[in-house]
Amino acid sequence: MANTQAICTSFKTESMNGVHAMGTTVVRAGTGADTWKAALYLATATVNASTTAYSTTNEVTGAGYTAGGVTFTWTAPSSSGTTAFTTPSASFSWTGLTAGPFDAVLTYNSTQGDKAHAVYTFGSQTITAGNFSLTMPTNDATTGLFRIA
Amino acid sequence: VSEALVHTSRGNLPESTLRREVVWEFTQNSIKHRELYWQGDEVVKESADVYLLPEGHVFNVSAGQLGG
Repeated sequence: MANTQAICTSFKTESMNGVHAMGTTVVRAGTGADTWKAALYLATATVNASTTAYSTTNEVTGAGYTAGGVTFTWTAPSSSGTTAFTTPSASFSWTGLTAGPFDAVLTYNSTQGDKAHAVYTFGSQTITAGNFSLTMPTNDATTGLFRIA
Repeated sequence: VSEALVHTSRGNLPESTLRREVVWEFTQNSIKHRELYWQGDEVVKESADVYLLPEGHVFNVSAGQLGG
């Protein structure tokens, strides 16, 4: 037997579940998952790795779109090999939409002060009296939408 | 038999008066399917479905070296 340096895979999954705090943390109301939301941003916006929280600045507006975006849930985080992963449990969708051009969606934690999670881009898109959906990849260690490897 | 109507930015229009176009777009982060309805040179309806690809969505973490 030999020892191997590693970040423990269980820690990755537990981090997704909010088990550990290496700094100042927050008081939670319960043990359930937080409320997560997804908001669309205009192509003229600047949402990126520096984004710290949801903002209405340059968020999509128009018929069929409500500020703040849509609420979603994550599939329970799990792991395979040394990768922890999770993916939203359903597509993000808007119907009867007229808006754009937009090219990004921000996922954020509505429960924790709208703190930002991630930005996903998909090329500029305008919707006219139509529907828009973001379909999720397969939830596994190689294609899950959010992975810690 | 009445003709099918399409809900557009100019109200419900007979499908026969519109030109339908389907466009596929591929980027590093997504595959996009667009469906457009044209009335002349104007897009009066456009929908899209984006399939998010996993590229760039993984966070790599590593253990630091002791004494490094």
